[in-house]
Amino acid sequence: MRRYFGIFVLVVLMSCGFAHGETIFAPGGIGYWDPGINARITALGGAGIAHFDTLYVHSNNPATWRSTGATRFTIGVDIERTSAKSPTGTDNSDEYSFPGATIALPIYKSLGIGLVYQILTDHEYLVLSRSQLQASPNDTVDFYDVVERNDGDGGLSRFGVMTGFGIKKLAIGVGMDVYLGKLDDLWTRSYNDSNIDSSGQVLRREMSGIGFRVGAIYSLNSKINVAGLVELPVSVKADATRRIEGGASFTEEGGMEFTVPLAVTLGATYTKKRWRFLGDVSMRAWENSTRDWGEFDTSRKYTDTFGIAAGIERLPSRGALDPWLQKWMYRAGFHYTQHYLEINDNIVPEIGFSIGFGKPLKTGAGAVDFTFGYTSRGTSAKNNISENIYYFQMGWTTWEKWFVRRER
Amino acid sequence: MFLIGLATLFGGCAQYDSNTGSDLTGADFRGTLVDTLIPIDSAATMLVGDINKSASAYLILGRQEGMISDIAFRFSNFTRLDNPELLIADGDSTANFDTSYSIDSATWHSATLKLFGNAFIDTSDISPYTPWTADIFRIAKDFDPVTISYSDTTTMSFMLNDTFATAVDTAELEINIPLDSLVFLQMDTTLASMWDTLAFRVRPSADANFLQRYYSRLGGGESRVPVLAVNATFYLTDTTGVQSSVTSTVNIAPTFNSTLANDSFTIPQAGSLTPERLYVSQGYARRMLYRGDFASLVDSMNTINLAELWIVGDSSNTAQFSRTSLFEVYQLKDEWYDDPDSARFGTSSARVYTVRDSIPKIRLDITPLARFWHSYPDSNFGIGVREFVETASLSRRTFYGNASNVPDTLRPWLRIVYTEYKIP
Repeated sequence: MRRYFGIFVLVVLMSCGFAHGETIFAPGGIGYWDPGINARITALGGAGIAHFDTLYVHSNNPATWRSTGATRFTIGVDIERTSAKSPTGTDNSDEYSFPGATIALPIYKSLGIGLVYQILTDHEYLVLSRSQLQASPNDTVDFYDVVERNDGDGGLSRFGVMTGFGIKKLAIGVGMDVYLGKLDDLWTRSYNDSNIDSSGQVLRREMSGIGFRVGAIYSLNSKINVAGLVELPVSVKADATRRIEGGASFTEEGGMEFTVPLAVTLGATYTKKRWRFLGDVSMRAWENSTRDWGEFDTSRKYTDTFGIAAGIERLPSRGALDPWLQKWMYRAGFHYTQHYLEINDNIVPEIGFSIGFGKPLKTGAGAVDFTFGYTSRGTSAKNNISENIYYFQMGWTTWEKWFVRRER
Repeated sequence: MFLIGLATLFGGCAQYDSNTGSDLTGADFRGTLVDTLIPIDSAATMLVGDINKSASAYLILGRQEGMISDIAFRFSNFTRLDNPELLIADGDSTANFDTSYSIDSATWHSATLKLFGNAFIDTSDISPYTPWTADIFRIAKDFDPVTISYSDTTTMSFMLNDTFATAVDTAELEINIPLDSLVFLQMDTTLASMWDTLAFRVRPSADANFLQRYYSRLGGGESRVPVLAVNATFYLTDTTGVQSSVTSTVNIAPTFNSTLANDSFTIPQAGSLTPERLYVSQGYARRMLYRGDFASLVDSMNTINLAELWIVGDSSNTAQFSRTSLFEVYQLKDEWYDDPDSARFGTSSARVYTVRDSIPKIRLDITPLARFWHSYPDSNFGIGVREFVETASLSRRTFYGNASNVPDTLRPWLRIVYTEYKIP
């Protein structure tokens, strides 16, 4: 409808197909839980469900989608370098990813509605391992030198329709999400003997489900907001197809089912002059979630996850004569969370730090945000494997007036 | 767009490429490699019979270990005698036949069938200087050169018995009985035949204790092709109309020659699907048929990595004849268990196996076939093993069968290497 919307659509279309960066923790379950959020929220450690802003929307909390009188767009990209370390060695991975996009529209007075696309899990991994193998029972060849390849692809995403509205100091939002995704797990083994054909199988799970979430933000006063977000359990059903190399291709009878469990997040913000403090606490009940996710998942132990995120933001100056550096936004954040699968009988902690800044556009219609971050995932001592992730995220958020009747 | 371009430029697509994290990638997802031997449940020797060997490079004459091999020739024109220089007159004349003469007629004086020797088929039991004789038969002109076989003797008429000094010499069989009158026409530089059909069959006598290989019309070049050397007086007319005559010898090459072998190899154990021995042979052709059923062991949820048929040859002299060396494997197209001779051979594996006495155990790679059977178990009718070129020579090789008294180390096996998966 307007020029920003056109650019937004173009960028989204060009970005389709890029998922989050790979992680060695991606095998198992439905992948590594790593919801995509915009560059501003990332710089704040992921905190911010209690903050209502005239420009930014929080992709998780539908209460932030109440109308601000303008149509808002957010999009971003990630560049990640992941360095994984295990007893067998160290390896690096570079990845470009597209964490998601949002568009929020004003409808009537404080009522707003919007669409959000958000990547939830990463199932990207590739491991090549070399070893010697002896067939059993063996009476002909002692050992084969083999190369095994484990390759994962896909992930779970959700497309949400959000609506939010305000009643005095209270903002309430609800959303309905369509969960869609595809997980591919490929395993192949090739042999140094050219007479022996390779082994391999691929398991594809095409997932779908519908979920709901409810969020609220309450302003205690002009400085303090508190918020709550409940994401109801989602039953994700999957059609699973397995194809055997040189053999049969068949669909698993009855399919598979995985429950993305109930999640509760509480948050608060405190704003004083040009400083804003944000904090969120979240919990997701993975341990007792129901799942029928195939033979390969039964041996994995699920655990409830707990997360905390905190951030601080320096707001821009409104003084017309202030230097340009004072007109930028500066941010820093911290987060701690856990993987829902135990590895080596221990939880997998994730700790991250981030800094960033946002530069308001000269037109006044939005901002460009930049975030640099570091995340440590897993520990060598407890999980026998760990990852260091360095990333750079860039986001673009803008707004424009729609549905405005021109004066004649 | 700028963001995406920047990200793509610096992002790349590198992924883990070492063992890092291999213990997290689902050990249960990996298959188990299994190596197993499956008994052959059905085996048989298929009798093909005497097959047309007119296109082979050699002709085989003699008898050895029960095998009798004749040679048949057919002379129907002079198309191979296309060089007038070959019609050089004998020593008492200097006149040549060239385009300045036309041949009106010729009177036959004598004829000799010349065969140029190459080597013995199987030297294990013979002396190279064994004297021997051969019977020569005239064949009626109406025989079919493509389908004639050893057993086809109805048109043969005995001509003479000829003696040869040694087995290794070039055989010159004197034809001393009258042949048909010879009529030649010379057309430009090419002689065309008006001599319709003249055919001989040479059969070794009982004292020919060997099988000798002679060059065929395709194998010896111009100087070693078998020829019928005819001495005749040719009546000529030159371009001015003057008539003359010259006595000379011309060499006439056959337009067809073939080895005709009898059915004298060891008789297979007809009707048994668990024989003690199987045979594969050239000349009087036999093929081996095997079938092993692995569907109950390797179901469709597995990957077949390798499938081989192991067979072991009996390398003793009595079991072998002429040491065949090249085998080929074929897919069988339908059931043959009740009648092995009716087996139909389908697609070749397109791979030739060399067999040596020093390595009597051979492994025939049938992986592509086994993977096909794996997907379509009803199509498993087994495989056929045959000589790569069944018409090239006379040979026989014996392999151990799957009778109960054959030791496990000698009997045929189907080796299957497959990957087994944990299937929920």
